[in-house]
Amino acid sequence: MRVLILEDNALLGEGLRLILERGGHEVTLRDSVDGLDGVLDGNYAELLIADVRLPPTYRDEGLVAALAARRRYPGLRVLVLSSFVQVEYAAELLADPQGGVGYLLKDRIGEVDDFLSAVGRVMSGETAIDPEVVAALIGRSPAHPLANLTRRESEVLALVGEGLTNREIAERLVITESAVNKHVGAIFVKLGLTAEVRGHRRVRAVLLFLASR
Amino acid sequence: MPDWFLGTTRATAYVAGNIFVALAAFVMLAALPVAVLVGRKTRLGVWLFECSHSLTLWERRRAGIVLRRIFSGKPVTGGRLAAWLGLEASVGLICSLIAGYLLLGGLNALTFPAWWPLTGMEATRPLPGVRITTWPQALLVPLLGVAYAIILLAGARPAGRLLSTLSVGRLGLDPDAAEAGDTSQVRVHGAELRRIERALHDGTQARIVNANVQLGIAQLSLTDRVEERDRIQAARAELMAALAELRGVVDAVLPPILSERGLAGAVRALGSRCALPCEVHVEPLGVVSPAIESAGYFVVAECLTNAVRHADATGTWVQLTRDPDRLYVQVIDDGLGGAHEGVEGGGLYGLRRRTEAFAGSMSISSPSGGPTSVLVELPCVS
Repeated sequence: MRVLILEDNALLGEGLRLILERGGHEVTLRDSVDGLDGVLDGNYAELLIADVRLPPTYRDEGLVAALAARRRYPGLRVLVLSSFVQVEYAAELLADPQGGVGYLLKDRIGEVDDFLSAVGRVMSGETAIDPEVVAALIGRSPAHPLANLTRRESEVLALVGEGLTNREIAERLVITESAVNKHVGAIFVKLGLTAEVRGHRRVRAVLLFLASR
Repeated sequence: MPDWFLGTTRATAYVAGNIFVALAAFVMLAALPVAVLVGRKTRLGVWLFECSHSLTLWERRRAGIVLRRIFSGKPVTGGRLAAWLGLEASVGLICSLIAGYLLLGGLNALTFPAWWPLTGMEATRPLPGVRITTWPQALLVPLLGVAYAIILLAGARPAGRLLSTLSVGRLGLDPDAAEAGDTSQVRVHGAELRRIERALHDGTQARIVNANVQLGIAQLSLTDRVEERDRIQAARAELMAALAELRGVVDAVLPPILSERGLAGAVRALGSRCALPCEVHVEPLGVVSPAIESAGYFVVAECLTNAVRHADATGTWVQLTRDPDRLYVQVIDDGLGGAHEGVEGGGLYGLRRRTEAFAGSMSISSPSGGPTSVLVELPCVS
């Protein structure tokens, strides 16, 4: 797949390029949001990976550019990398329920295989939300539906947010797949996600508590 | 021109308004022996101490407006307080009397032809040493008023700067408190704060991330060397822990979202992250120093947390407004009320400390049964 990376730190950009090329992707690296539309107009990239903070003002240019690019090119997959977790940013990316978005801490890049599989999930139209986002949401309020989740269920939900399948979750937590199924079912019930909710019910589970105040 | 005008107006208001501070200082100076005599522990002693505390905070804010700086730190006590009161009761009083004379005398002279006929046009002295008996003389009096105004406006800025500098020189941070290592005082200047956050973000954090990525890539080529892989894994775990700790530090001082979205965006994010419905109103805020942005942000964060945790509220309301010299932060919830500052170390107590460290003020209204409103005023000298 063709990937466009927006990253102003040269060493990190090169690291990302190396990792993605290893994963068999074709990579273009740019260090600012300038001229982004021109590059995307050539229909070059299928996935845009953007750092939140980019020149010229080093505010949230990268995120803003990624959201704008996604509105302009609906099929474009977007993965935003951030130095710190901001629930609001994840919510803005997930506001579009089509999937194909990701929001990860830069910390995750070093775990190369996991990072590549997160990239793969975003590319295939799923989501990859950093587990820290879910952690930040859990325990923020005793009145919140999330507070009713058990610790194990919270762990499972965090992994669902990351976009893992039940089998992958079972491997990660060293439990059986049927136990994971049970936890996921319990999470859906506690968050009020009934069976009628079709489509990305797993994504909805993450979306729901991003949206529910 | 607007800058000159603003500066002159501020300085004039400062010097003329100093009459109130000077008179209060005069009274406090007289009361100081009483306070020492009855001791700090008595009710009267506490009250006198609070009064002098408020007076010094007020003066710091006034001086801050003229000098375009924020004067923070603990209120002064003892000899330094006495020295300041003495300064205000002497030099301060004289300066403000001169300014007051020029201001009132000038107005009197400027308007003289308008009210002279009302007095029956008797011979009068609108200003000392000026005796008016005829109309041609009367019509010249406003010229004197103009002269007064010119002296006042020309002298206001140097006088204001001199007086405020002298004043905060006595009211500066208590060296004893600084030695005691009072870390709750956020005394880092705003620009410095942002520079540090940027340096950590673009420097230290980025370097740790890079080290982690490079090690992760190196690990890939070590498929058959388990021990080396494990060592690298352990090193990476340390790097990740360092990153998390660094994030914690940065978050506590200047939350990164402030750098990325400014105070308005950061407060909106707090509102949308709040577990209760939260209505956020933000006026255009203009340029706000990072230290003040940070203080305002923590006010909103703390108040929203209180509303969720303790108030049993169903909704919250946040408003940020700005006038040229002040940022106002107000947070209201419809909960049970009865919020109080409580013991040292409590949330609201901490907010007051933080606010006062920036020469701001905080008022809480929280009757039993609610609603609870917290209004914080922070000086803005952009």
